[in-house]
Amino acid sequence: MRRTNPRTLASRGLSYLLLSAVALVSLGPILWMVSASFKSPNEILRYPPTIIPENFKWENYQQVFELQPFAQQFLNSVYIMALVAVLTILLSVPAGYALARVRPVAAGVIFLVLLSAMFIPPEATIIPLFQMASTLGWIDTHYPLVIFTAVLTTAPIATFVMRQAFLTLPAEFEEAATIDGATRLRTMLQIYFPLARPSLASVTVLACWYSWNQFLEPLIYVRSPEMLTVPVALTRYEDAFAGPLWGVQMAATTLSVIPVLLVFFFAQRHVVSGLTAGGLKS
Amino acid sequence: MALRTTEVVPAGEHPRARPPARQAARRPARGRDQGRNLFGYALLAPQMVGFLAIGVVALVWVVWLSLNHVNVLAGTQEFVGLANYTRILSDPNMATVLPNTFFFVCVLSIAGTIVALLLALMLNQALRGINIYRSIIFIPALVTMVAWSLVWSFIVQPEGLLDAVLAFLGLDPLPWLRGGWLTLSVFAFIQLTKNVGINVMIFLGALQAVPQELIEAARIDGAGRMRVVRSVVVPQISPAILMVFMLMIVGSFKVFEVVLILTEGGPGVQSSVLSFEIYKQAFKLNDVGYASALSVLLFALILLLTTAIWQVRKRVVFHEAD
Amino acid sequence: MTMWSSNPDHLALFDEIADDYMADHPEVTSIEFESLTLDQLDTVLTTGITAGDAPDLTWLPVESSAEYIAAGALLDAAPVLESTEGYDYDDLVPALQERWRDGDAQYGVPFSTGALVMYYNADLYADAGVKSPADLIAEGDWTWESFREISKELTDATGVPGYVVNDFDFKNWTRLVPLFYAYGGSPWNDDATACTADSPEMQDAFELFNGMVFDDGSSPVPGQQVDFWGGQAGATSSFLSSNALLQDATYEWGIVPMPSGPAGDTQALGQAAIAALAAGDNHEAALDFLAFLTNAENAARLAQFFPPARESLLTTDVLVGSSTILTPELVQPIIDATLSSGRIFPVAENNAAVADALNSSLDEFVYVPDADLGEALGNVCAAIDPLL
Repeated sequence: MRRTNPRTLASRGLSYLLLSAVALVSLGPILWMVSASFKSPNEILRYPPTIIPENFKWENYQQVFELQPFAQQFLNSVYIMALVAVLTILLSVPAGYALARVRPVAAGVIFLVLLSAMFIPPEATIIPLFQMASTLGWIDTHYPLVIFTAVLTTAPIATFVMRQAFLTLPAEFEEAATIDGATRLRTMLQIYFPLARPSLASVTVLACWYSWNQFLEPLIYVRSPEMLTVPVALTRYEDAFAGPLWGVQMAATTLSVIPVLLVFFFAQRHVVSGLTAGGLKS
Repeated sequence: MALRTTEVVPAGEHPRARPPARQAARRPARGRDQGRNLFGYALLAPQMVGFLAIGVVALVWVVWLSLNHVNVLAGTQEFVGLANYTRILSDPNMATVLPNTFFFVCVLSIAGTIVALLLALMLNQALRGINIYRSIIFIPALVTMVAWSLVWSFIVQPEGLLDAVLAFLGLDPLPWLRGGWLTLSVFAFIQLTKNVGINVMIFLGALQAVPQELIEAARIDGAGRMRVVRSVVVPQISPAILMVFMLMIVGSFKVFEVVLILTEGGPGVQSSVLSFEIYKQAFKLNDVGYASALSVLLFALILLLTTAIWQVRKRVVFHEAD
Repeated sequence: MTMWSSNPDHLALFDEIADDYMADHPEVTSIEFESLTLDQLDTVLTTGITAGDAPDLTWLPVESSAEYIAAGALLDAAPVLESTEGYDYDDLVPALQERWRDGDAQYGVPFSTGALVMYYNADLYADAGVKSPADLIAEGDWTWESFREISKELTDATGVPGYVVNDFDFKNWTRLVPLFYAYGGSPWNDDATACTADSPEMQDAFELFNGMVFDDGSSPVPGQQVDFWGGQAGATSSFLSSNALLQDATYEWGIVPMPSGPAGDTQALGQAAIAALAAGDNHEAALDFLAFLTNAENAARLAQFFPPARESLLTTDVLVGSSTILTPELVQPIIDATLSSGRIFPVAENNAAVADALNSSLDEFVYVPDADLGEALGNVCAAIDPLL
């Protein structure tokens, strides 16, 4: 242990100060949201704002479920997210492997094409995709949210990540396996895929995160309340006269955040390792 | 809370294991090429077929729509050539919307990357309780953008929490959402705080994989802390920086939820961006043709920008494989 | 069909009517109501039309009438209505149908013709010792100018806004129509071919409105949320049907017609109709159910929630119905005003684009402190003229 000199102490103090400021910006809105979820509309608008609600309005939470099939909507979001993740992995892992290790003729060109797909903004293709979805009879279903999202956005990004991951693995394994007479398929499945597990976690987290956040797509493709996903549902808390119900809205928002936070804290190791691993290091 | 996974290939192996790709590419004998190609294409097929069937078709389709005038209510469509594009040039709103879009691209990509990097460097120190900070800074990334925007809408509304803070400091309230630079900055701030956690995590992972020997060696050579960061750490994590930078650029074109929820682009179009205008023209004003032309413009802009960055990358990024 | 309300009472009534209809029409096996807010309605209809699965029937605000009719998106209901037994087509008040009629054709049947009225919180005025709207009416001085004065007095005395425009948010110009009409202004001329937003009348109207918002501080600034129903404002203007929101009010309240102005008394009316979409699959059944839904008997049932456009139903009895809030004394002046000086909102053919341009240019140029209204309204006209 080195002795701490005044300079390190000062720099430490500064670090704590800065980090605390950032933490306040991160956590402040969340705390405000929880507090507002217990307030009456009146109190939410009060100036200067109150920190602790005067009367805890638990009814807000009750109304979340009365006004919309919120539990169903939450489940929709979860299972769409899971499907997007699965489809993303199915598409991207083999493709990433092919681009990094198999490298068939024109792999470079294919890689560039896929890379450009990563940069097609969903806004730019939403109109033709909407018309495509309506031709296929996919309006007010979850197909576009899973298939379009995975194929066009998350899988190309994941392919990029997986390619990087497979690139960083040593080629010697491949040679050794070939000498042992293992087929290409076996080499890939038994040697490289297990080694790429951290990157797999990484693309899973990214795909889940992307799908969970999606707003424009469900806003356009989905119509009936029981088919909606959470982000759109949050914007639909209104009374019978289309007046906004702020307290209920904040309660719903809180409910949408809590499970994710819980999952994060229990699965933190995996989430974080997923994000920090994955071919992103030098 | 262990932030480092043990599943990673030991960090020490990386420098030596590289560059594997080139070896792999050079090695195959001619006879094996056919099998290799077949295998490779089979692996690529699902992704490529999906992309061609959906992405390419959608792109061609949107270009075609952009050459038409579409009346949704009447269900009619009429070829108008480049009329929608000339309209972009003469649309006074575009004089505001395009600079706004660029503002977000520049601020979010550059500031977003730098802020995330600085935070990651700070969070990478061995301080007591650092894990708590790491978790807290990651929390907004777990909240959906819609939820984050909704909460912020109460914070920045007139006589909201932010005005109360100003009043507490003895300052006058500010018109946060009434357009101009202030509103754009508020949006950039909301967007940036929401997503910075993800980027911080990516950087942390990269930082922790920087070989400790390199840093020690630089220290022994007498380099100061700043110097070590600049000459050793940053080059080592440059692939992660590029990755984050590119993701931020793509994300910055999609500042959408915050615009929709907080101002709907107003007053006028002062706080609007290209992606929001596309949505508005297509789904609120039913002008599908014009919205398609804007979509094509958006795509062209992104393509241009990423091509430029991809070119620069080769010079900037330390030991890239291809 | 799509409906505007998510109020369970409203939906229950619609379901009841649908059940009655299906009992007589076994060939119709299901009638579903989809609740949509105005915000979502247009998007859902246009995307539904594109996708080929548009609803058969929909509610439509009067602002959209000309646009949908001109595009040929609505079915003419007149032949079916006239031939339906017991429909009593002539009972529909002609003045209240004009936006939906074109020659002999009728493209939608208004089911709600709502008067914009003033609600006020009597307790606030009493506690502050300020004259209430009712006091001004009693003095025969119920004008926007005098309303501005009491609003300012109330705000000065209590700190709460004197007046908040309900459901306005500086994004919904139709909520200011009563003010425009009181000053004899309108954003465009009668046949919606030229912008008149920069007329002296409109300038005066906005002079008063901006004065309340930015000079007196008696009305909230853009972006500020105020909840009248929860007791946080002196008065609000809203549709008569909003009275249900007073159900849980803990204060004394009153309902009065909107103040008058230089142009005298006028009653601004919002309207929504039910219309059959040409893009729907079941034209005949849709029109038939429309005739059933809006016949005299069912219109009377709906009247407890939605002010009707039928002469025989525009009575205090029907409007008060079983309401625990409305009384004949409250309702009579509003019915009189509806019939004598009722004017429905201005309508333009290119509504989606015009309304967007109007709302956004007003927001940008007019709703700002110290706006030079002459110039600002000139900018507004520059924005909407090309679209008319």
